[in-house]
Amino acid sequence: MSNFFITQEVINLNLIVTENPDHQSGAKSVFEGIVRDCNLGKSVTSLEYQCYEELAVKEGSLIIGEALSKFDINYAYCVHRIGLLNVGDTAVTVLVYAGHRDDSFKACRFIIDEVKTRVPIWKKELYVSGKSDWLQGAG
Amino acid sequence: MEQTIQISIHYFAGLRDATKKDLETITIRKGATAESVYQHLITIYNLPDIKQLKVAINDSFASQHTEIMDGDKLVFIPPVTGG
Repeated sequence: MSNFFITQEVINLNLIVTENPDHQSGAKSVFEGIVRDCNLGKSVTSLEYQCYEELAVKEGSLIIGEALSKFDINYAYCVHRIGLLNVGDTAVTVLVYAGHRDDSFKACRFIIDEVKTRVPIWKKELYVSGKSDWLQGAG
Repeated sequence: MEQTIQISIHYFAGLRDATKKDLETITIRKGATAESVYQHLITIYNLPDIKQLKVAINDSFASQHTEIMDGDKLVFIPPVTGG
């Protein structure tokens, strides 16, 4: 089963299965990407995320698999929210369990970096001025 | 008579804004590639250069030089900005 998900619902870390899945892990790393109120000097009110879901799930699942092969970790999970998000909302969450912190951190970083460059998800920034722009390339 | 095929094209992000469509079905000549389909599209819409885009056929990444078959689903993918 894939551990990469797309959702239109609020991401609530408490609702993600965060219990140590095998009790073999001494480290848990969590990354949350959050909507901020400014970018490149412009005041942002909200973000609209759009997704090519069939390919996004396929590519995201590949990334999770690569993380499990590349690092000494026991569990990896990622969920990305789409639709209209407000400042402060969580857009993406990555969760990794590992025996030790080093690979736990590295795998978490690997997953979010790969998601940002490979998974077909796009964000449009909506500005205080009323204008909006699709961002160009992973930031 | 030239043989034709029907394909669907799905649009996302800036391409959706430019075409004002989520998807459309078009009839093209048999033997067309993703690239030649895009060359047709830029005669209709104000779209970016294909060098900035990736291509997916039937929900898998593909080369822009891939021949499109009857019934294929074609997506041109702008640079991604998730996270």
